[in-house]
Amino acid sequence: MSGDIFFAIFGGLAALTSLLVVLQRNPTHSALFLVMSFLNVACIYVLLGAEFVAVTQIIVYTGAVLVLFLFAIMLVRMEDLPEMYGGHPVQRFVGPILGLALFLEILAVILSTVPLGAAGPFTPENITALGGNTQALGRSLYGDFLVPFEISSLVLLVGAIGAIVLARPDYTASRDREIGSLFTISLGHPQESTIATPSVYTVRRDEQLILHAEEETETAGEAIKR
Amino acid sequence: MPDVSFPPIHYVTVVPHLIVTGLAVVLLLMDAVSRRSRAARVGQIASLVSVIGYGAALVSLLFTYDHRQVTGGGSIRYDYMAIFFLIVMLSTALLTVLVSANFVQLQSMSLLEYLVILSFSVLGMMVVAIAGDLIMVFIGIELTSIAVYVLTGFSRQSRISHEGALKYFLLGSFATGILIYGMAWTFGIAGTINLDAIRTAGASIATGNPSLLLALLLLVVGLGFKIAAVPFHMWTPDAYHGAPTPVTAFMSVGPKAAGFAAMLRVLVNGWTPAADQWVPLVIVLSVITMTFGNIVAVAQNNVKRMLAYSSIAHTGYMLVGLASYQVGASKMDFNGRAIGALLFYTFAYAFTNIGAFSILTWMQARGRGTNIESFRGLATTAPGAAIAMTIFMASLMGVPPLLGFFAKYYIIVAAINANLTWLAVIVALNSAVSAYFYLRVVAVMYFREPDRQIVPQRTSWLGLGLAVSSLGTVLFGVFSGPVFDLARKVLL
Amino acid sequence: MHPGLEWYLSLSAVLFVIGLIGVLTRRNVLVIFMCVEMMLNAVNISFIAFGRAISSATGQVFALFVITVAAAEAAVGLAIVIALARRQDTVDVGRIDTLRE
Repeated sequence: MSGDIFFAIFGGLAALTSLLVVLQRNPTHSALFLVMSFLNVACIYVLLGAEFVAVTQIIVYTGAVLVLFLFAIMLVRMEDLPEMYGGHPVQRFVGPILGLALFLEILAVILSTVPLGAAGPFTPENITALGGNTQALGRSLYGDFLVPFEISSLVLLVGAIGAIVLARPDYTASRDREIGSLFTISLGHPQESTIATPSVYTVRRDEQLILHAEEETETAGEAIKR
Repeated sequence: MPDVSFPPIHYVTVVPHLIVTGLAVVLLLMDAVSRRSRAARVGQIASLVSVIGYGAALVSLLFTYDHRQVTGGGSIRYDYMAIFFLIVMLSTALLTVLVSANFVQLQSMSLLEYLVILSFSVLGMMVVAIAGDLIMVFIGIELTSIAVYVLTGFSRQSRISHEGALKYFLLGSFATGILIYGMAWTFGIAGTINLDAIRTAGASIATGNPSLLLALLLLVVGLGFKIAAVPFHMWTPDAYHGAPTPVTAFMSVGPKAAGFAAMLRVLVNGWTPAADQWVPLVIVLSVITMTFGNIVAVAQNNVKRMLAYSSIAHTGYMLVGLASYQVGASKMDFNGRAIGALLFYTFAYAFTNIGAFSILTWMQARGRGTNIESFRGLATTAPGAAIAMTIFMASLMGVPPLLGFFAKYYIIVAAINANLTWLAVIVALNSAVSAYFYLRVVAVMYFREPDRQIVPQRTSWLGLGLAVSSLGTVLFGVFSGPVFDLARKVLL
Repeated sequence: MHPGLEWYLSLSAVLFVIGLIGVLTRRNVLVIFMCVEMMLNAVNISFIAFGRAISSATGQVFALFVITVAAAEAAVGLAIVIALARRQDTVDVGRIDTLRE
């Protein structure tokens, strides 16, 4: 019976906090409720006997991804961000209706008998014989899925490179000198020059001509020609 | 239980992948050690290295052709489908490098970084092509997508580039969520994620089982996003319009080919026994996709946006090939021709569409816009570019000796063979509608007075890319037979 | 005893649909992305539950891959957000619809 009680607690909390992520107005609050949601889902994983995935979930999601989210929220002024679906209030109605329809459909499928595939070798007894969930997972991961495992390293690599390419500030020879002093992190008291950074960006923006983007009109094309 | 045993991998089947991985690593190292002051020169060398790398991977296919097999513990499926998709993807990569090299440098973006990300994206596509299980499909699609999100937002100074990237990213990862939910249900009811095993297990699942229908629905919706089928196309116009033009050329062909490869792997190789249930979904999708794409494209005045919507329409034509799939072992030959027609279409589309976008790139490198008015009198100011553009537009429209015509021809024949004559008629009607906006570009080039001269600009890579794609469009059109013969072996 | 498979699947469906509704209704791009992450989590519950039901470790392996990919995706996605916020030069925008003509 204890499994049922824990499932009710963690499942209920996971659903509740997930709902709050959607309902909160302030993104920071959403992020904090997301942490709660992820933690509760990790507990569900434990109930399912997937301890390794549960720990990974806590380390990767709540440890890394959520911190990234909070960094993004901290670094970005919300007014600077574009909004999705601006000016389409119809989405407000369509979204929940669509979601509800899908949910009822999935529920109907679950309540009808789900045909399950043939049973695999990892029965609870076999897992215990192997030494636990982690050992069983390792066997499957390196035994059957070695090739995708290797490729997933490339996914992480491209994620890292892509993030650097997108988010690092512009480098130009003159700016390197200019910025050199500004971007030095001092362990002493914060210097005033740090505050001046945004103006550097402003100047840079005005200097640069965007060749390919905003040339909807011929006049803009003329400007580029010159 | 015995110790962990790594699955045996016949490395000969992944030689093209190893070459492209090597290329990515070399480019990455070049970026790390080269000095910023020599960026222009290093960029040129890197382009050359990329061309050689992709070329070598293409050539290596000739030698690995006879080693078709399933290996790597079932993760790798090196068959005719893989080979044909690898040809399409590597040609796409090759053409993209040629089209991008000058443009990226003219826009003072870092060419080396661009080529690095591009090579990872190509690698992801190639992984989908050889996927033997659902994890490979998923990882490959994600590798491609993540790299393409970065490429879309690559133009550092342009806000619409970043906005397009953000929209693409959000809807792309949303689609990923739906796709893997479908994979989860597939795993649950089939008990495995290996495609061959799914095919075996699927035979014992009753037709019309609600769980099966749910899994298929989620898979088709998730993959529909990736190939930009209506109504899951919302990201397409903005992402295509916002991205730097050579990236748009790549995006409209490469990730779409990867999406189709994933679709064929999951539906045709995996859920073969459930074909009578996913075929109706695909038919509906193909009809609304081509019709919507063409109707909206008519209203566009910006050629880049017009090509974005026309790319949606072409997705619809390609889906007809999948829609013509028939149930039953006796239909092997018909099905080979139907799926082969889809494969041939991706091949044709690679040359033609990258060609069309390379003309846009060519114009932008010379300070012109992508608006239809920018094409005024191109025939007098730049006759060569005008002729090339005419070839591409004619091919997209489906004018006889060109590649695009044969692509549509095989698709229509497949539909008629599958007793879907009405679908073939819709394809023909849509082609007629599409003639309006393709011919409009040609008309503006030839029958309007030029308002100003073209700014001279040296773009030798781009010129080469234009030459290759227009020659390919003509020559592979005239000699389409051998290519289709390879494509129709797809199910063997 | 443990609750049955259908309970886990239902929980997974609830979380998935909440995430889906969030993606479709919220306007803040960061919150939309959080909702996507929630959907991926929901799918992981399905994978692991199915995996336990048929005594296969593949479900957990797939969940691990999903977590890996989600991490890479998050890095790139938030980099796009930051790059975009940095390029925002006009005050009135606040709309992703600049692209629409």
